[in-house]
Amino acid sequence: MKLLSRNEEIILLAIWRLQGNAYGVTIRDQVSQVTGHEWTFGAIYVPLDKLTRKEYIVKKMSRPTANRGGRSKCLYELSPSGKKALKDMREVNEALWQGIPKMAFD
Amino acid sequence: MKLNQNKPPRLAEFLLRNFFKNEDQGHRLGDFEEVFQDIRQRSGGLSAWKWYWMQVIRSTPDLIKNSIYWSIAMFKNYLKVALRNLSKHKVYSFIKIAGVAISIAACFLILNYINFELSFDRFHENGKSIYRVTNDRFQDGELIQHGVITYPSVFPTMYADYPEVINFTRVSTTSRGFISRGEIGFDESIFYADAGFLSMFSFPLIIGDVQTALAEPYSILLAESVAERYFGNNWRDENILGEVLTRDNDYELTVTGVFEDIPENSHMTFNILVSYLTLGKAYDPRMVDSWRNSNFYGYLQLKPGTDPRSLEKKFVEFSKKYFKGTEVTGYREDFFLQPLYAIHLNSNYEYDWVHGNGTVVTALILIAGFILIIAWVNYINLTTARSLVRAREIGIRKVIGAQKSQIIKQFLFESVLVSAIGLLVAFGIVVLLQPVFSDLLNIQFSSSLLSSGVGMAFLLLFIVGTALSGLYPAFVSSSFAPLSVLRGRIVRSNQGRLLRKGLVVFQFVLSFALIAGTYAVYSQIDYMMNRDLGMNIDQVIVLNGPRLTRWNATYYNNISSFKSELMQYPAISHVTTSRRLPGRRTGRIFNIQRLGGDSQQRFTTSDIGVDHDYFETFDMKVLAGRGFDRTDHNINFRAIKSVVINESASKLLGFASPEDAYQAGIRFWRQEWEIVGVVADHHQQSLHVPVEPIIFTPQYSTGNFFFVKASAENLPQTIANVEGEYKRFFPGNSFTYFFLDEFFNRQYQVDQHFRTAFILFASLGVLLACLGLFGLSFFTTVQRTKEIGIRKVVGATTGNILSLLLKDFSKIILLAAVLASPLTYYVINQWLAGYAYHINVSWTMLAVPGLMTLVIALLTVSYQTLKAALLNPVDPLKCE
Repeated sequence: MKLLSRNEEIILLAIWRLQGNAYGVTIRDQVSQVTGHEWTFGAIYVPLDKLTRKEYIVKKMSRPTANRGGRSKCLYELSPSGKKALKDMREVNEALWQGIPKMAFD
Repeated sequence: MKLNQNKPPRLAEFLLRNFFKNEDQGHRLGDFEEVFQDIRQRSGGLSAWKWYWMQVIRSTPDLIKNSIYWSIAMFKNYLKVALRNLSKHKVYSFIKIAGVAISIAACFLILNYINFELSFDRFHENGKSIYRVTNDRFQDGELIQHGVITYPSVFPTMYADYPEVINFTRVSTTSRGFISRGEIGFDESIFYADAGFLSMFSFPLIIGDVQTALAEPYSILLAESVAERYFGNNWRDENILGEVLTRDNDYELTVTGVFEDIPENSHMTFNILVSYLTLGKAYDPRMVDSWRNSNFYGYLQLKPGTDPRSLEKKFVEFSKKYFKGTEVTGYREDFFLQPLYAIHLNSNYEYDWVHGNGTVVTALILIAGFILIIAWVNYINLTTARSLVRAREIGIRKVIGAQKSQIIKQFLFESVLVSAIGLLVAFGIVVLLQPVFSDLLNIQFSSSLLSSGVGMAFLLLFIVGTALSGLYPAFVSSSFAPLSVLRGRIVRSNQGRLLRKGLVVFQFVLSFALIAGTYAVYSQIDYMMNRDLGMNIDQVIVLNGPRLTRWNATYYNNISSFKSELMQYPAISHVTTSRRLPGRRTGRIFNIQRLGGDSQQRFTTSDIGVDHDYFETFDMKVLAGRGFDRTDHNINFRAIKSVVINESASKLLGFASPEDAYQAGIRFWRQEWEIVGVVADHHQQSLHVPVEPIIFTPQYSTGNFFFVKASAENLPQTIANVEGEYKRFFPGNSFTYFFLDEFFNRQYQVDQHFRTAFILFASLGVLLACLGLFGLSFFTTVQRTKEIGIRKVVGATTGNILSLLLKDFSKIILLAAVLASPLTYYVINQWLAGYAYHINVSWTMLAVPGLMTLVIALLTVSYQTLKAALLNPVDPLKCE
């Protein structure tokens, strides 16, 4: 099992949550909001390219829109293997958390 | 600047664009713009603008990482495809790589040689402001000597008269002497120089003081290696300053310093330096101070920034003031300044020392250029020819989405790869062959080549060449229309074929020039070395004269009996002595007058002092009168009356024929002489130098060389016998000998190296051109296999096919020969004109190389062509 990096995991989850409206701008807003600091586009694109290469996500082009200077959006969706990778990560996370007693938070 | 705040900043967008792959460019720029517009509407254009720039800047590190990843991915693919291509088509790969390797190796070797030649005398820190004084001498308005020797008083006077002259040194090299320290003694050649010598030139002293070492008479400085000879390996530990050495058992010299051995790239070579003033004290004051005695070299150092031309103009006055027209010496004396840096390669003065040859350097630079061009043309031709075959690969790449620029990149990458492999192979060749080459061509290899300017220029040339030769094929290949290519319709442009043919013609123009040049160089040097000299110098052993034996009344008898003792040995047929060595410049007699005739006219000839066996020993033909005989000699120089002159001298003096000159009277050296014979002209020096009028005088002196003509059989025994007699007759003198023909031929050393280098590198160039032609013929025949099959099926014979294929190539070669002939003819003519004696340029000098080029080229293409012609026609036709 190949583990995702933290950035990749965050981006994948953001794409999943955006439910079909995931493209550069919305993904960046989403992750910036959740993590509480601003991500640059550069920081978004690098993991996006990596995930595309690994075929965890697939790209789909939308119609061009005016507020984008007449350019289209590239919408991202999770592939089945992308979903599986997220589930694997979650299992690993949960397995790791199991040994930690609740009181440790106090 | 007015900003359009509705749009993202153009420059930032442009920068950003370059980070993205083409497919991603659109939507990613869209992402940026969406946010930009959003911010603009909420908080105005300026902040949106600021945001855009900040975003671009902050994204850059990540984006760079990303784009590097992608270039590496493509690079890997290019590498893989390039290597597959190279290993699949071994013939082409071999030709391309061999071409690059050979051309680079050859150029490296040539550049190394040139670098060495150009480095001469550059190590002198003051080099730029040092000039050698040259002296032209006119008699009756006619230039009679264009020399680098002149009168000793000239230099100190110039130094005193002109403030722009800040240092001077005279130099004299004429002397060999026996230097001894107790029991140890060697025959040395001795170099005299003035006190300014060491501060003007940069010959570093290991011990001793630069300012004073040559200031006093009887001072001697030794080269490191010579110091070892006299004082042992540990001379550094002993204080040898002030030690005393003896010259010719006659006078003492005090050691005032030791200098580092003279580097190879110095035009002066010496290993023993004696103060110039010694000449005046030990021999003749006129060697130091004289306006008449012209046997000395000299240099001036000018104040930095002085224009040598303006100083030369002042020398006109100088000549008038000190030489008073022709009053002092009998000639008008003109003085000039020759830059130190010009001495080695651009010098054509009389009495000059052996130096390099600028023509050789030019010729080799030309050859190096030819070789490079031929290699590049090979590369271009083979790659463009082959790109037709690779059209399908290119088509598919384009269909998948490759852009033109990417195809160009790929092909450039391949050419860089081939060059890099070639460079490695070249490096191997150079390392392996360097010792052989340095032996063969007498090249000194410097390890610092690449750090020097020449090396950098060469590297640049190589990179530019690789790029250029890769660029054209890259553009050709990248411009194929993908669809027609994939449908199998490769458009063969006539332009492309024409260009390829044009390049091949060009290549063979160069090859023809190289072959013709080789032929000319070979013939000329062969001619010079084998021409009848007019004197037979074979089988002659030369002995140094017994310098340590005193000249006195018995000397003449002593030498006579030494000669007749030697003649007792059956192996020895002749013995003679002479002041001059064949192969070395003679001295001159000035102000010769004819008696009786027009006594106003004065002549200048060379002079050689010989004994009465000279002409017979060297088989020199007597045209009129007789050679010398015993009675012509006299121990009292003033009592000698007879001279023999050569044919040229007889003409110069105005005699109608040799018979006419016989028994005529002439006057020189303040006495009268009778011409007792006229001999045929001979070459006293190499054929670089014209035959000169010569007057022979009958002389014996301690400085004379002995010439012993011996039979080839049992030479070691003969030499041992000669040595025994020499020691018996002249005890105390060191016995050294050499063979005259070897000594004489040493004059051709530069020519011989040049010939070897020329042949070697020209053959490499031709070889490269043939490699290219071979590749091209390989390609053409493969392309035409089907055509050949059909031709054979309908009845063509092997001969028909062969002539069909060869006709094309023959035309190319013939065209090249015709195109190259005029320029080659001109260049060869120019080159030969520099020789006093040269072969005639006839049509054979072009026809023979033309024929050779044709034969070589046809042999090259025949292999492939014959293979194609002999093919069973079924094979190529079957596969459709």
